[in-house]
Amino acid sequence: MTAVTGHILIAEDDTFLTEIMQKSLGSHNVRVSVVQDGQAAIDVITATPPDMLLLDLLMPQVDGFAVLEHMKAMNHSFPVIVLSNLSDDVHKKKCAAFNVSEYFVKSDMNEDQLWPIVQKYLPAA
Amino acid sequence: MTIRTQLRATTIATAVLILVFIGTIFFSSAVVRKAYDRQRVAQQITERSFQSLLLRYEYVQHPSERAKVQWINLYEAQLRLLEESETLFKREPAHSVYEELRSSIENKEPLFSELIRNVDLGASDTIIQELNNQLSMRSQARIAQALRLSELSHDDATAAARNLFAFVTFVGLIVFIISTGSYFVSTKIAASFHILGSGAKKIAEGDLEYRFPIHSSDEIGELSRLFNMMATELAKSQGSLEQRVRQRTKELSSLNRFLDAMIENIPNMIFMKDAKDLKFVRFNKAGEDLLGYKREDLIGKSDLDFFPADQAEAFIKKDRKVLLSDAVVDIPEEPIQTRLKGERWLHTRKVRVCDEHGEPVYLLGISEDITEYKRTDMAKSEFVSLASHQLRTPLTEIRWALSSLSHDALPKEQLHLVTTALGAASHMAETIKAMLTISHIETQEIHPEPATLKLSEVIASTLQLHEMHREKKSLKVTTDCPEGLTLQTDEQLLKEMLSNLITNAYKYTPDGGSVRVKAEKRGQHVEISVTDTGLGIPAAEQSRLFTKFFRASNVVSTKEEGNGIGLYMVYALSKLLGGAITCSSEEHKGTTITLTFPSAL
Repeated sequence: MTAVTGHILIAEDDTFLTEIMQKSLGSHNVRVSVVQDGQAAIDVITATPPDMLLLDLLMPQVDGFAVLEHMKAMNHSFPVIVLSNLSDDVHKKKCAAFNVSEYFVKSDMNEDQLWPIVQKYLPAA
Repeated sequence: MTIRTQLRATTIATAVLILVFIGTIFFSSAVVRKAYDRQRVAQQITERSFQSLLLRYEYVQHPSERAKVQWINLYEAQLRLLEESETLFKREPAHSVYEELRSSIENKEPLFSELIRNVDLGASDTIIQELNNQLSMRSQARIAQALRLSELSHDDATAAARNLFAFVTFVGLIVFIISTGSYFVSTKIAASFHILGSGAKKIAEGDLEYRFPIHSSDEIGELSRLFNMMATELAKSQGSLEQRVRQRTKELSSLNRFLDAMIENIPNMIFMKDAKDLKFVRFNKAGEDLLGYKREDLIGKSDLDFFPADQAEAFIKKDRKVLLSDAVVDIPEEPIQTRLKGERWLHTRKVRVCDEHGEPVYLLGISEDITEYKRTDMAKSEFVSLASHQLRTPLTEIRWALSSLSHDALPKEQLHLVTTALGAASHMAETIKAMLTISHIETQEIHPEPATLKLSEVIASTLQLHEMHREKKSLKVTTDCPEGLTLQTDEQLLKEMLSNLITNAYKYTPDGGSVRVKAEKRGQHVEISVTDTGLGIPAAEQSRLFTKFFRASNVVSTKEEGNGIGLYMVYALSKLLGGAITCSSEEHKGTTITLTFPSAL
C-alpha cells in the first residue's frame, strides 16, 4: 500500500476543532498546518501551495470564498474540501463553481471521517 | 244573413242566370231559324206555283216535249220540296194549310196526266182550255195557300224574335239588379274592413282603450268582437308585464347594491379591464388603497399609464393570454410599484368575463397583497438558516470532541458515556438537518438537480455510510437491484431519503434482524423499497406516519431516539421530486417503506 503523504493546509477559525482535526490526521503520514483566517491562508498558498486544502467558509475578515477566488486567479489546482456549517444551496453552488472536490457539513459528520476523505483526494506522492 | 250567404247567393244566381241565358239564346235562335226556314219554303212553293202556272200556259200554247218535260220536272220538284219540309209545318195552324197544299198538289196529278194526254193527242182547244182552267183554279187556290203559309211563317218568326228580345231584356235587368246588389255588399264589406284596419292601427300605435264599434251579427261583427277581446287581453298583459318589470328592477337594484357593498369592502384589490383596449373600467376601495390612486384617476387608463414600459408590456401580454380561454390564470407572486407603499408583492388571479355569445368583454383581476406574508416567509427562512448555523457551530465541537474521545482507550463506563453522548449529538445534527431541509422545501429554496443515476451504485454507497450501525446490531442486509436500472432525479436528495429510511430500518429492527433494499421498474415508474423485520407500526397509526413529529406509540418508549421529523422530510422530498411514498407494516413482523418515482422526467 502506497504511503499517502503530503502537506494538508487547514483553514478554520475554531481552534478547538482544529485541535481535534490535527489529532485525527496527525496519526497518519501527513503534514498538517493550520491557519485561522482567509488572509493567512492566501499567504501560505502563495508562499508554498499545499497538496490539499480543508477550507472553512465563515472566517473573520477574509472568508473562504475569497480564498477560492485567489486560488482561481492564481490557477492553483490542488484539491479543496469545503468543511462548513452552512448548508444553503446558494453556498454549495458557489463552491461548485470553484470546482471544489467535496462539500461537507461539519456537524453532520464525525472527525474520524476526515481521514478517508483526505485519503481519497490527496494526490499520490 | 251572413256575408258568406250573400256572396254565395249572388254567385249562384249569376251563374244560373248566365246558363239560362245561354240556353235560351240557343233555343230561341233555333226557333227563329226554323221560322225563317218555313218562310223560305213557303216562298219557294209560291214561286214554284207561279212558275208552274207559266210553264203550263207555255206548254198549252206551244206544246213541245221540252216544255212538257220542264213542267213535269217542276211539278215533281214541288212535290219533293213539300215532302222534305213536312217537319217544318208540324204545328197548327200551319200544319193544316200545309196538308191542304200538299194534297192539292198531289191531287193535281190525274188532271195533269189528262191534260198532257189531250195535248199529246191533239185534242180540241176547248177541252184543253177546260182542263187548263181547272188547273188554273187549283193553282190559284194553291198559291193562296202558299201565300198563307208564307204569312204564317213570317208571323212565327216575328213572334219568336220578339220573345227572344223580351227575354234578353228581362235577364239583363235581373243581372243588373244582382250586380248592383253585389256592389253594395262589397262596398259594405270594404267599409267594415277599413274600420277594422284603422282600429287595429290605433291599437298598434298604443291606444289600448279603443274598441271596435261594429256590432252586426255577421262575420264582420264576429271579427270585430274578437278584435275587441284581443285588445282587452293586450291591455291586461301589458299591465302585468309592466308590473313584473318594476318588480325585477327592484330586485336587480337590490342585488346590485349588495354586490357593490361586497366588492367595495373585500380587502383584496378587485379590478376590471375592458377586453378591447385593456383599460380599467372598475376598481374597488382595496385597489385604491393599494395603488395609491383614486378610481377616477384609474378608470379609462391602462397599465401603460401607471407602470414603467417594460413592466406594463409584460402585464398586457399576460392579459391578452387570459382573454383567450376560460381558465383562471394564477400568478402566485408578482412585484408592482405603488405610489405610496413602494414595492409590493401581489398574488393575482385573472379570468375573462364573456357576454351571452361567449365573446370576452372584460378581464377580471383579484389581487392579494402578500408582501407581509413574503417578508414573514423570508424572515422565517433567514431565522431558520441563522439558527441552524448558530446551533451547528457548538454542536460540531461537541460531536467531534466526543468522537475523538471514543477512539481513545477509555474505561468501559466512560466509553459508554461518551458513545451515548456522541449518539445524542449525531441525532441532534440529523434533526437540525431535517428541519433545515423542510424549511427550504416550504420556502422553495431547494432546487433539485436531476441527473441519471445508477441505482445500484446509489444504494451501495448509502448502505456503506451506515455500515457501522448495521454491524453494531448484527443486521443482515441484502440489496435487490437490477444492474442497469437507472433513475432521473437529484442524487443528493435521493441519498438523503434512502439514508433516512435505512437508518429507521436499522433503528427499529432488533439485533440479528434483516433489512432488504429493493429497486425495480414498474411500467413508467421506479419503486425503491426498504423492508425490515422490525417492530412494525400499529395499523391505526399508519395513516399519520408521514406527518410532522409523528412517532408511533410502540417506539416512543424504546431506547432508540427519534423525533418524528425524519419521515416527514422524506415525504416532503419525495413530493418535491415528483414521487410518492407509501408504507405497509405489521406489528412485530416488519415494515416496508416504498418510494415511487417516474422513471423519466
